[in-house]
Order: sequence, then C-alpha cells, then structure tokens
Amino acid sequence: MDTSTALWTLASYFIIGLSYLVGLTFVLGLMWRLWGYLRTPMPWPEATTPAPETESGAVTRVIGDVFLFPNLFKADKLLWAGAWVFHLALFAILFRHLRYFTFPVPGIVLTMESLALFFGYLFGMAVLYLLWRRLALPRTLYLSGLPDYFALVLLGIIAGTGIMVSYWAHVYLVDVKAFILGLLTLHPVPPPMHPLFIIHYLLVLVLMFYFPFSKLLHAGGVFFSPSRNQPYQVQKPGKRYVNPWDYPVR
Amino acid sequence: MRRIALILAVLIMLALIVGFYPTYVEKPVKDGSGPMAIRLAPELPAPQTHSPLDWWQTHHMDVVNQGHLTQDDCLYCHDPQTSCNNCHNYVGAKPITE
Repeated sequence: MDTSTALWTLASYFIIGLSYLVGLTFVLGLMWRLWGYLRTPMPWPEATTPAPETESGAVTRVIGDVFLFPNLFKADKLLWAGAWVFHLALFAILFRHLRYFTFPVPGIVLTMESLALFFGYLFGMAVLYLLWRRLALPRTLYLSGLPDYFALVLLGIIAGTGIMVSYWAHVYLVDVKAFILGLLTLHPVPPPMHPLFIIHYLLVLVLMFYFPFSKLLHAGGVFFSPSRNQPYQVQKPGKRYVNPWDYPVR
Repeated sequence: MRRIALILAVLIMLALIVGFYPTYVEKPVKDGSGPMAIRLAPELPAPQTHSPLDWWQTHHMDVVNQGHLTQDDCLYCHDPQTSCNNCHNYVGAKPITE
C-alpha cells in the first residue's frame, strides 16, 4: 500500500467515525434541547393577543407561523420575502437530498430533478441577500453577532459547494449514494475521493453538530413558543389556569 | 398543548424514519454482484468516448445534454433496464425510457 492510499484509508476512517459521532450528537442534542423546551415551566398564560380562543385555533396559528411567518410580514416585507424564499428553497433542497438517504427513492423526489438547480440558485441568492442585509443596514449590522454570520456563511458555502459538485465538478453520485447508504445501514464504505464533495460533506457535519446548540433550532423551538401556542382563554368561565409551580397553602 | 405537539412530532418523525429507512443494497457496478449490477453485452466493445470510464460515468449527462450524443445513440448498445436504470434508480435520477 503506497503512502497516498494509506492516507486516504486513514482519512476515510476518520470521516466515517466523525459521521457517526456527529449523527449521534445531532439526534441526542436535538432530543435534549426539545426536552428542555418541554420541561420549561409556563407559570401563567401568555398568548400574544389577538390570539385564538381554542386549542385548535392555537394549533392553526402555530402552523401558520411555520409556513407563512406572519409576524415577520407585518414587521418587514423585504426581510419576510428573503426569509420565506430562503426557507422554501432550503426545504426543497433537503427534500431533494432524500434521494441519497432512501432506497428505493420515492417517486415524488424523482419529480423534483428538473427544479433542483433552480432551488439551489434561489437558496444561494437568498443567503446572499440575508448576508447583505446584515452588513448593509446600520441597525442590523449593530445587532448582528458572530453566530448570525457564521450560520449564513456556513449555509452559503454548503450551497455553493453543493451546486458545484452537482453541476460543474461532478462527483460520481453512485459513490455518494453508496457512502450515505453504507453509513445508514451500518455497512460503511469510503467516501468518494472528490475534494469538493469532501468539503461539502464536512461542512454539513459542522452544520449538524452546530444545529442543536444554536439559533438554528428555531426550527424546533417554533412549536414550543408559549406566546404562540397557547389559546387566549383567560376570560373564559371554567378555564382557570393552574400554575404548575403552586404548592398547597396551609 | 406542548405535550401533544411533541408527541405528534415524535410520532410523525418515527413513522417517516421507519417508512423511508433505506435497505442495504450493493451499488451498481459493471459485471458486479447484487440486484443492481450492470450488464452489457460482452460482444460490444466500449467506444473511445467512454474512456477514461471515471470521467464518462460522471459526465455522460453533459455530453447528452449538450447534444454531442443523443439518447438513441446510447440505446444502440445499452439496454435501459440492465445498463442505465440500475444507476438512475439507485441515485434517484430520471429513468431512461425507450
């Protein structure tokens, strides 16, 4: 075995081991953070008014928040447009990536082939807009910190390298799929020896490691926001709210 | 509300993971083993355009999309069922139809 083969074998073992470590951290970190949200006491009703008065209305409001970002729409139309396009394109890209994680590949994922590149560019443009907005507007520049830039730049580079390996410096997709399927089915094989793909993949691992412990977890936290997921029932007869912290008074 | 949301989210995620969890299958390789193996008629020599094979495997779609070859040219030697759609189905690319 020559030196370069030995180094590549070593690097492959490292990437495979890192993948399992990051996957485990992602799943356990996510569960830990969501469990924390669930266990956080809500000592009083605090629905943001105007609020729905029924539980089903509150569920509808949360679903509306997830898909339409109505508060952002009221606050800043341009930011809303950028954020909405960003999230839509991100969802479409992640959905299209199911082709690497499933076998057989669901038919609906196949139908997105012709749109994949479009969503890739759309996502890149949305990232650039959001980054420009942070840097160009004095108010957002003042408010922005390192995590804000880090997340955007990381997502931007992942998108850029993803577009490049898909449409410019092609990586052999059969090897990519074999690598991902191997990881998921505990039959690991070395990743494709393609520098841009390795960069893309390692950055995705960074993102997965960072996700549960960062502001990006608003993806899960949106469901647990008490001001949004509570119905407004304060003035309803028979709907007395009992503080779970209360102890019996002697 | 929060408990119901969490239980629903966990149940949906579990159902999706169980429903779509992939099964192990050997990747499609020419004359390889497993159900996805690529079979080509041995009497057909590989044309010069297919060399080097690594480059051809990753760029053949560009050659077709840019009009240097048509799909019919490919199907002159390739049977879609045994030497096109093995890979296309494996990676979720549009299947080749005659």
